[in-house]
Amino acid sequence: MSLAHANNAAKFIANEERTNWHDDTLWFIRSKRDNAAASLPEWEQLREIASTIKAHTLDHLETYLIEFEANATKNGVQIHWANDALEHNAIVLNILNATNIKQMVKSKSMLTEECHLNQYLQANGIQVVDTDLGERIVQLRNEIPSHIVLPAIHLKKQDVSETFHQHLQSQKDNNDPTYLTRVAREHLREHFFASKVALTGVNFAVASTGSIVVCTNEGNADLGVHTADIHIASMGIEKLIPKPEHLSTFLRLLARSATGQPITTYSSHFTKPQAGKQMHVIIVNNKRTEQLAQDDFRSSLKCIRCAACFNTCPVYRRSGGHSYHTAIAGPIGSILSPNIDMKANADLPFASTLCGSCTNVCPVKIDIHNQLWKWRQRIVQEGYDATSKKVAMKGMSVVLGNPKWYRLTGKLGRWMIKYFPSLANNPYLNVWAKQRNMPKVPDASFREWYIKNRKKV
Amino acid sequence: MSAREQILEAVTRANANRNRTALPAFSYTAIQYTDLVAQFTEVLERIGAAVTVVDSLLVVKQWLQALPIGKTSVYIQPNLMYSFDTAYLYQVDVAAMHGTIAVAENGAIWLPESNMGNRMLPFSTQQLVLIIAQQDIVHNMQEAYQYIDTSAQGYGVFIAGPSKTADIEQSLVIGAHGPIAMQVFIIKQVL
Repeated sequence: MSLAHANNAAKFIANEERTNWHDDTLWFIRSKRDNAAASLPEWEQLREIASTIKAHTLDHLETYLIEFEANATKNGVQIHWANDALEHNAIVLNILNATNIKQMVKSKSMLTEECHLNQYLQANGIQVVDTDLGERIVQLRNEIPSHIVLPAIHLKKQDVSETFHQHLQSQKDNNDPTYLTRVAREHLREHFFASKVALTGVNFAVASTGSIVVCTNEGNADLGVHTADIHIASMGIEKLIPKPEHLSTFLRLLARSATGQPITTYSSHFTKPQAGKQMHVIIVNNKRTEQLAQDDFRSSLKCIRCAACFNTCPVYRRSGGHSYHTAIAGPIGSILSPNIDMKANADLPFASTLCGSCTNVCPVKIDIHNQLWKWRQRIVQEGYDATSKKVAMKGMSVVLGNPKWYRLTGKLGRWMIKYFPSLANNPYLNVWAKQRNMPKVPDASFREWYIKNRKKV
Repeated sequence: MSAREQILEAVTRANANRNRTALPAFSYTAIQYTDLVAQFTEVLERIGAAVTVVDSLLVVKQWLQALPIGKTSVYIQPNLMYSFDTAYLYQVDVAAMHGTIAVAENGAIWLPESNMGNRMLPFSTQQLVLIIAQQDIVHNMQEAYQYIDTSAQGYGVFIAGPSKTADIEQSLVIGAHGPIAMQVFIIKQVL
């Protein structure tokens, strides 16, 4: 196992001021979420119902996928199926190649990040312009989003100003967020106007009507789609819900959990393409069926990508999204990513304190912290844990399994801290001493104290 | 085996021999408000829209006529076909249209395709004006979905306020890619 998360986090926290800003900002969003949740007396019932609707849908997924396909096809939508990331990317490229169009605008879709679509299309001569403001910022900087709802949360306005000055010729050192947003607005409106193909993600796909629902605040998904001749929507198989009436439950939970808004500005329901235009929906697996087959991890497919678990996580807030080195960071990403590649992501389930706050805020009641713990066990069983951890665990089992060894090492430890505190507090020799001072040691162990004092009673 | 067959087969296999969860009942009362107009107005103002209660549609049309000279404005008659070209749609300053259901809980207004003239117009216009009848304000989203048929038309959208973003240092900026401003007119109930 690599220690990528820990090493990346060490770099992130090197800038203390920025780390504190990141921590406070995300915690502020968490408190906005709490206020929004408290505004509805039925909040807990909504979570329970949302969780059960998702459980029901996953239990009958084969039926709902076929129903969705049939209804969408009836609506004039072209349905495509992709078993993995590469198949998904090839379908997008084929649609573009059939029309000889070389440019595409794209609104937020974490699935396309997961599939590395941008890199694939660029390698095939297609220009992709991300139109969500945060995603455009990270795209211009050649980075990936660090948060699924707030892609550029790791950046300060000075960084954005610098990036826009370099790429969009904005005024140097003008750090006003309104000014910078307007610069992006003008720049992206040109792209909306020029682009004939628009790709969006899917928040919910309704089986009984064949419609898809896309939730945004900026209006970029709709501007892209309605101007273009071809709309491509990419969705994971888990996005389905049975009926439109179920949308009410999810739309009431989604934005409140994500940013504390009562609802996103736009909840767009796409059912049929406009006359003379095309609408394609790509239904993607990419190992979701493997997650579905595992009782321990199946419920992670209920996720509606609100990122409430990111905002509340003490580790995410203090390590930043890029430390997770995957398209989806945070607690939910740490239980989804090992399913895609256990070896490469073996460090992620360990990037948690298992405090359970993620589980408490999850609008669809995924037991995230339990699944993190279960992944740890799987990773150790498969032998993907770090060598340093393996050695330490083996050593500990010898020490804790033998009273003589236990007493001896205890004594040795107390002696070390007492007579060589500088060695014990040296973070290079003792990782436990990183950002911690070792405690004052007692003269005797509890056992020694007990043997001595028992007789006094 | 096609990707479709592979996926459906894998899902079926994963779901075999499983106790299947039933669909839940909506076993609770969704939030109700004593003053629908006040609640709806409060939420919309909080999310950056202006709200005015008026006596009739005539007042809205007068408001449109009184816009400064040089502003391009358009009023969309419900259920009427319009043909606009894309360049024009990007030049509109003010577009007024009728919503069919408004939600007090979150300030959202349902706008079906037949009431927007063109799918792009509610997004390309600089200022969006939505007109709603007072009796069409409902308490919550659950109620709203009972009144709308989401798939009767090709497209429909709930809109709550002007477009916005907080992607730069979490500073709220009203006016991202869609409208920079939004005006809602509530036409008073005629008793």
